Amino acid sequence: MTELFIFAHGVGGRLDLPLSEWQVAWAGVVALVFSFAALGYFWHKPLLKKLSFGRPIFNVPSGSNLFKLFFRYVSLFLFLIVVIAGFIGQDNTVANLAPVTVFVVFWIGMACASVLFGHIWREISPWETLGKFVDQFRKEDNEPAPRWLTSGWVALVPISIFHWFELAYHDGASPRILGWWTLIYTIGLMGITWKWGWAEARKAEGFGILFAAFAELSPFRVKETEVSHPRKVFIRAPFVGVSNYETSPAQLAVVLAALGGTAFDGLSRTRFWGEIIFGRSKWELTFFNTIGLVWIVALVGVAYHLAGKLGSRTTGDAIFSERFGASLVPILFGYDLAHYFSLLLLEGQAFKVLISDPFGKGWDIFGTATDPINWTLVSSGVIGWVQILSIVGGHLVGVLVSHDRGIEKFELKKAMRSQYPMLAVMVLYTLFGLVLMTG
Amino acid sequence: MTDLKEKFTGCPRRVISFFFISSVLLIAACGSENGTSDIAALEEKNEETDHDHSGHDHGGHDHGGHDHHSDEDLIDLSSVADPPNVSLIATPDNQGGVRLEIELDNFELVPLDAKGENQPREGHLHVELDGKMVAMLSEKNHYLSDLSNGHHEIAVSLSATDHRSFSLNGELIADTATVMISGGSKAEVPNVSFEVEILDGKVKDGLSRFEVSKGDLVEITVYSDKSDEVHLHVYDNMVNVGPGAPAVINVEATIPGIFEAELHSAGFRIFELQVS
Repeated sequence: MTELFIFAHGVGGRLDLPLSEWQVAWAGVVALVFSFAALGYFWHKPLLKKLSFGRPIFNVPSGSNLFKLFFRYVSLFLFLIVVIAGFIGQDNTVANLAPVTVFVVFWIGMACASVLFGHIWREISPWETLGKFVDQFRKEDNEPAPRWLTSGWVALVPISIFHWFELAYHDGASPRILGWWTLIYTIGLMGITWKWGWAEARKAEGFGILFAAFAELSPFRVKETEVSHPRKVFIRAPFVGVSNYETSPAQLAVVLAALGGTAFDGLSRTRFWGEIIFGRSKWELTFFNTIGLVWIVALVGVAYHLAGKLGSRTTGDAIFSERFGASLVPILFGYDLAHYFSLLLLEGQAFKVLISDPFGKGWDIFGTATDPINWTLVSSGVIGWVQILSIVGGHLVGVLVSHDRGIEKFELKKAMRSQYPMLAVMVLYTLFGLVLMTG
Repeated sequence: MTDLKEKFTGCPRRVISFFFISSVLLIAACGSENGTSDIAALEEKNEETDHDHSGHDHGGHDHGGHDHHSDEDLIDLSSVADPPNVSLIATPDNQGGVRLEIELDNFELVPLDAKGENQPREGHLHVELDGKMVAMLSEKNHYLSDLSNGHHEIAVSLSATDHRSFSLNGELIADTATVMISGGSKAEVPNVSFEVEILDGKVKDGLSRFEVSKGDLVEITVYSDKSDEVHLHVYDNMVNVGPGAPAVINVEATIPGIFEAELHSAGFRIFELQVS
């Protein structure tokens, strides 16, 4: 690992092959047909809420706190190592532990882990640990937190900055930048904690908000503590849990921002965008990418907003947009999986290599420092099908959730009518997502 | 941040609609534009590859520097009665070499340094290995050594004393043989090659996506008027480039996907390699 260079976007080295048009056409047809079928003929009673309850499988054992503590400190330790590596390790994207940990293990790995196992970020987040630690020392004063914090809109800030560095800034994957970024973010969060407490500061931790949304898709659920009752772990069908997810406008915005960012990541890998930024470097490149990123995020947001407005008008439901926000979560996860599945499996291997020598000092702690990366671990065919299935699958779950919510709130006819704008916006997202995969 | 939503919803609906519709139109326009340019690019590419292939079949001098493909470098013998002909028998041994036996009709070999007027039935032989000139001969037997393992194409053509090639109806007077070499060196010869040229900090002819098949041996030559370093991601070739010293990147396309190559100091993308 002696190369010295910077990757163009995030840490993506091997980009996926474009999907063939017939694959995409099939996917689009399946998505549309199923959406309409689900909307009309078979689904007349709300079902998902019931399903999302799940059945208990075991009580959370009393020793689990120790277990949790272990992971919490492992996570905190890894966090510190990554920040230090960002500052003192090699200033080289692929030879430093920080980029792969932030962009692959944290951003994608944690999203997948949340979908698989539930909201484990809440247990192991280093900011959670640090925040609770700071909480112990701060003087309790009863000054209420300001509205910019309690409304949750501030969570958009870290997500937006993260996306900008990842996708627009020309040197965003540089270890030093990541080091500074993480440090400033942590100090900011702790500052808020010192003033108003971690319970409030958590609302500014955008990643936690996002992972919490993903966790709703998980087949596992832990029932909240009731005094004198043991906590129970419930199992349920995957994805149905999201029907219980109530979004505030701010959470909705966070999900939409993430969706827009992922869409722009897709766009930035197409030939179309490649030709726009071709020959541009440094700040000129940043400028064009920033415009593209803002444009796509705005487009995704405005499309949803308009569908929400239209739905509000036809149903007279004032919180129409928020009501159906939950249906965006499976779509976002589908997008994420489609774009980053190969990144996780391929570039993710670099974590194993770099963790053995986190500061670039020639160490070999786990004996893996010289392991090669197997770039052919998954075939292009498998990647292609995962991409299609996740985009279409995310769309299908989204439509079902949305439909289920519709008939829960309105009588059938009105519910059907309420769904047309939602269906339109989801079909738009799906087609857009698929088209990006062909470029 | 507090009033973001208020601002957002406070926007006149017409403005939002306009923004949205214009965006959709823009996407549609980009999409179709993209589509047509893709098709155009594809056709162009096909032509290119066709051209490449024909180049290779006849000896592909893109890299050899002995370009005798242009018409003025050919001496056409169509008007000559009983034109000369050549045939080649190539017998590989098991030590990375191949023995060439050449039979000639109506053609006399003269020494390479012979001077004087070209004669239609006089001259020497040019031997090409996989499209690169490897020998000029004035005898009918030759031994090529130190070939790499695998298939190779050997071509022998008739050349006049001034090193221009004889042709018949626009085709070189030549014979080719394909041999399978064993017991030779492991280094292999590319079967696909591309070129990129950088002038004044810009890539001539825009961004190319070179499409190759998995398993191809690819050679990409990068010319640049400034000194820099070319890096091909994942395959991790790092090759210096400078004025008069092109970077030659040789890769065996074993990993499928799209890979970017960039100029390291300048920091921009110079081509993409698509392996499928």
